[in-house]
Amino acid sequence: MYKILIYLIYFSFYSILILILGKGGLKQTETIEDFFIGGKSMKLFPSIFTFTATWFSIASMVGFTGSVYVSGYEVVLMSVVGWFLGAGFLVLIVDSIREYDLITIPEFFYKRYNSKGLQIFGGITIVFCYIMYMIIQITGFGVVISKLLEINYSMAIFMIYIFIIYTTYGGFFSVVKTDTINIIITIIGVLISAFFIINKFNSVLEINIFASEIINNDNKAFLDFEIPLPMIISTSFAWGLGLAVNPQYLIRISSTDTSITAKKMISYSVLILALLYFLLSLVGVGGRVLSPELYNNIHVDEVYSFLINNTIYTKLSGFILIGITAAAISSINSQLLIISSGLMIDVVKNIYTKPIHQELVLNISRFFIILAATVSLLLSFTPPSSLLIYGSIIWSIFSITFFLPIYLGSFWKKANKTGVIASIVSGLTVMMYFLFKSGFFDSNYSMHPVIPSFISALLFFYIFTIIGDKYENKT
Amino acid sequence: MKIKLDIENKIIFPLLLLIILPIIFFSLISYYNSYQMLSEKQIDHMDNLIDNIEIIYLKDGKYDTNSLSSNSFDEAYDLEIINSNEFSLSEETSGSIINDNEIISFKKISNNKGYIVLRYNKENFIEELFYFQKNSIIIAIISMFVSAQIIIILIFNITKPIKDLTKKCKDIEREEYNTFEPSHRNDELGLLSNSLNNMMETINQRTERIKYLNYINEKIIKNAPTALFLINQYNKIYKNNKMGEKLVKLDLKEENTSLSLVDFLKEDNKNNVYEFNSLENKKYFLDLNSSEIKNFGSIVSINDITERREMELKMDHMNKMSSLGRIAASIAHEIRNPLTGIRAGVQVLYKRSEKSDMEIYHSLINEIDRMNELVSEILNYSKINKSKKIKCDLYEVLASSLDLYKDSISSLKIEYKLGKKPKYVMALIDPNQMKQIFMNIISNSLNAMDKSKKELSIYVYNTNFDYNSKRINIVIKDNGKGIEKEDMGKIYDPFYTNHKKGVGLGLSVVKKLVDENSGKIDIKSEYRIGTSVKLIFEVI
Repeated sequence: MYKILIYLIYFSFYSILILILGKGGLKQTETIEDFFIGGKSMKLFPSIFTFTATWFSIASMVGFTGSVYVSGYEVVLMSVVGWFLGAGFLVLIVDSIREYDLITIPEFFYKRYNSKGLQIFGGITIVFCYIMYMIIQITGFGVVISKLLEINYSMAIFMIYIFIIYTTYGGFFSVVKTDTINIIITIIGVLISAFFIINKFNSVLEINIFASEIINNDNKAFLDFEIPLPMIISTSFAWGLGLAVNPQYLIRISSTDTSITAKKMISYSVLILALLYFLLSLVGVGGRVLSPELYNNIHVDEVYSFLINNTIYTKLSGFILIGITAAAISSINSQLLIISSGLMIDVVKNIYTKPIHQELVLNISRFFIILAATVSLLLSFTPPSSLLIYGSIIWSIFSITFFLPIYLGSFWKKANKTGVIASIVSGLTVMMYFLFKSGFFDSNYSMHPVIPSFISALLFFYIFTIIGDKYENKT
Repeated sequence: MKIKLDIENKIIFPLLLLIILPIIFFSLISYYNSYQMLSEKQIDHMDNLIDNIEIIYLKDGKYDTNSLSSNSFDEAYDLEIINSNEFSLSEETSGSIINDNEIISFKKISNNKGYIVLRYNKENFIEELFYFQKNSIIIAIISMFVSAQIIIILIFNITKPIKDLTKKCKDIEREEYNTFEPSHRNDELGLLSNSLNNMMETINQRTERIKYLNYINEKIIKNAPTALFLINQYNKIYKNNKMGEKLVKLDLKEENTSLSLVDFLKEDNKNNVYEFNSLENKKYFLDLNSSEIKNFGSIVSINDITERREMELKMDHMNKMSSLGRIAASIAHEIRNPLTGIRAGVQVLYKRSEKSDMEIYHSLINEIDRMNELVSEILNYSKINKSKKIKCDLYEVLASSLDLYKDSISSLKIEYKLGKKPKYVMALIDPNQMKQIFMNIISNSLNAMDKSKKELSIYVYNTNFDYNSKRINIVIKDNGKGIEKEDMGKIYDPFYTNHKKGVGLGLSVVKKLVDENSGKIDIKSEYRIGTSVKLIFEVI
């Protein structure tokens, strides 16, 4: 009983903290630019905090740890390596993104390819993908919190709903302020969970020695690489490409005060994230050694909550609980804000061309935030099977629709609208074919659908850019 | 430390208390009610349990302790039999008691030797109560959080326009007049904001107008020909215009008080004309006018009337001279005829005289001739004719006048220099009068030469008169004995001369002829060093 009471006390303090910080952000917002990208005035430290907090979602904390518990270190190759590869790509694109002076990422389509249609398409893609991706976060949160507080799943997901609306309502400044405290709490949570896991052993090495002795049901060693290499590489690739053009990271590049700040932001954030993933890997593997019975009994996304609530429970476990909450909120509010900007700036403003005064734009954007959060909440009542796999599919859509137009558009002068349209159409068609063939949003495929889709998109981009070059020059 | 709350927080905090306190209050009531309910339920349950307890007595009258073993109850319960004399909880035969740690049910056993006492640890009960209340607590926390959010967002939206208005007012206070985006609210705050915007627009327009007028006024004052000084209430010069600055730079001292102009202005002086002296001992006549400016100080305007004064003095002098000339001419006329008679008489007497007296008569005739000559000069001076101006080459006139003196110059061994002919030399002048001017000046220069090395330089050059007209300047400079400083004011007076044989009409004639030909003459001289005469005429 006292566990729940302690969790509730932690939760109450966290709520108060968020209330205070979110309120501070409300005051700073004056313009649309302030609301969506903090007036492009972000200094290094707030940028690092918001970048890391946005990145380190519940999929990382709960999904990643649970997956390591089930599959061992191969999960690192399947996800983290891809993410960091994506971060490397982000550094390359910093100058180009800042040069185009963007408030939303689909604006790039308009400013680079002079196509409002593509901008609207980009906005709609963002809305679709992020609503889908937010389901992962909300579901993850619901699973963990319902287990820890022993409450109904629906009540648990409603709890995050009220947090995310509040933290996003004040716009980018509110998000950054709450992200700062959220990432600090998340880091403390991860440190505590790693400390208590490691504390159960004599050394880190001992965890791995014990883990190497574990044999799975299929008579294969736990730490052996079971997942086929093409699957590992392709999933990692899907994450990487998706991350490299993920608007929630690109927009943080746009929000910094200088290019240098943006590059430093990515570099330092990756260092912090590397530490966090290392610690969570130990939690996953150590947890498997300490509580092997969970392997056959509970779902991958419930592993982490079981470990903190039972295997390594202390009075500080409340910190881990709010760490999970913080990780979920800090990612969802960024995504909500991007959905709102996509709808308002990329879609509404391009369709409804009459001037709308700033106050009304801000209020409509806030309404979109509430709307998107509600839709995601409703969809979360039927959660997907695996957070990591589901996430990689969503990210694949970004890879196909945004990666080639943005990166080739930045570095290849010839890149044109015709090439972009052909690339997106072919990439999505191939992707849909593979998804329908092997099951929509299911993980039973040997190679991630992003690989053939991306190759097809790349080919079409090149061919149609050459064709389009002649055609566009004539017209 | 004093905490300053803005309007937003002043509304938020009481409202939060208003929402949170009832939630806490109702939660506590609910908790208490649940507690009571569960307590009663527990007591009923325990009464029920105690009623169903069977005591198995042994043969010796003692009871079987095993029959009271806690096996039949869970760990939360504790069952025992207490002797009547040791039982102090109640005097009743059965009942229940709730204390801080436990709930106790008791019942007197049939042989009256003791009591069956069933104890229940409340810790277990509270745990049960928490489970019972858990959802309510979470809902209470969520309710408080949601209420707080709604209040914060609502109050933020209400107070934001007030804060915006405050910011606008602060900007006005700091004179940062800007145009603000009009409010789109339809309520009173929107109306207030738009009214403020309109008001600011009017203020902006008027400010611009005032600024423009100020600019014009400043321009006028700055370039006014009158010197202006603004003196504030602390008797300090607050501002002055260009002309004022010019006067201050002259470093003038008032004739009577010897106060500098700045200090003199600070004195309570009446509106009057005052005489000032510059460092070079030049006299300045300044007309001071002071008027008071309410709540500020005063404004003093100064007109430099030195030139006017000099002109007045000059006119006076000229009038006197003119009268003197007329008198002299009429006297001369009256003297001339008798002089002719006297000379004829003296000539007759000279012819009849003896040799010894002849010299006396001869000198008498000479003196009469000299008088005659003087009279002729006076008459000539008074009879200067009107000039007959024609377009002619001034340089040529100068050169031909100089030619007449070539012999004298070479006999006196004078080094002379005539400058190059300038570009513009044609002027509308009377060539004869000009010749007379040059001859008089050159003659004066030659007469003044007293040094072993004698120099005479003549330069002719052009200067701009204004945008589209030019002047010709002729400078005749010698290294003669010069004129003493105190005599400089009299050089144009008739009959003034420092030459033994001169009549003193030369420069007087020159001045008259220069004026007649619309020219200007400026004479600068240093005693024992030399004299420079500058003649200026407009070229055509």
